[in-house]
Amino acid sequence: MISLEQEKQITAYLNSKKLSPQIFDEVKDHFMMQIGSLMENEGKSFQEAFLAARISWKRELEMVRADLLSFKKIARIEKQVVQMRFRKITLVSMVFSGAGFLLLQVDSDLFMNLQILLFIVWIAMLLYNAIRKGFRVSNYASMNFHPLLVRTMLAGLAVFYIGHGMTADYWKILDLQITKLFCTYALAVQLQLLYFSSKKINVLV
Amino acid sequence: MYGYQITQRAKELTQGELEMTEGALYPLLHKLEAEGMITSEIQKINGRDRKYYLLTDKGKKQQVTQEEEMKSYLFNLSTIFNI
Repeated sequence: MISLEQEKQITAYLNSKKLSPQIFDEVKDHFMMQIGSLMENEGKSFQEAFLAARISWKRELEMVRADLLSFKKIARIEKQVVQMRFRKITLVSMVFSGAGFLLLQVDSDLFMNLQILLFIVWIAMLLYNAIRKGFRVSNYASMNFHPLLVRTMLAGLAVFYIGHGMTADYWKILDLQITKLFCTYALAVQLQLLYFSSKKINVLV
Repeated sequence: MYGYQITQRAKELTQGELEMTEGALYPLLHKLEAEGMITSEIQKINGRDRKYYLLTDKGKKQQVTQEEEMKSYLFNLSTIFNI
């Protein structure tokens, strides 16, 4: 049986891995069961069982860079889940901006209205997160340098550079349809990041 | 079933042959949950939260398909080696 003091040791160790609440609870439960079983079935002391559990989790709890374009370090187990979430965000944003692009071809005025609507929703979500969810300026800053957005920015810069090769008129480049596609994509990413943040789901914000 | 229970059950069924990496299981469970193959519910056990996973209807259908595929694969493999 694991004592309260021993449980505190496990909690402190897992806290140092900065796991999100969803994963933390599961990993802690697993640790408790694993250690308890090693103590009961194999007659190990708490320290021995704790060490064995840490060794068996070594790879998954190792701190690694969250993304190629991020300096944040998170546990590998968290990274796998976060990267999965990123892929979903990217897919939804691609589908959404693709649909927006089609709308732009059909009715540019309606597309303009959609962009305004998205911007209003973005402001509303930002305010909601700031007022109700304790979203700080630092969160906003990290959102602006979020790996998913940095990727979009880099791709946008490449388009801008290619556009400049074709025409030296910056206004013309800004008016290119592909620029609007990028803006819609970036806005769709930000809206999802704000949504997940409001739900306290880890998306590195 | 919950995470630890799944690893133990896998060990028990394979008589220790299949030893799952403890932490590798959770990203997989989260992926299956996101795909709607399994669903989860949290229960308080001994004062701490425990997440139980259950197969959804979609997951059950997928399980049948995967089992059939695996059986067919093993059958083909054994046929080849028995020639």
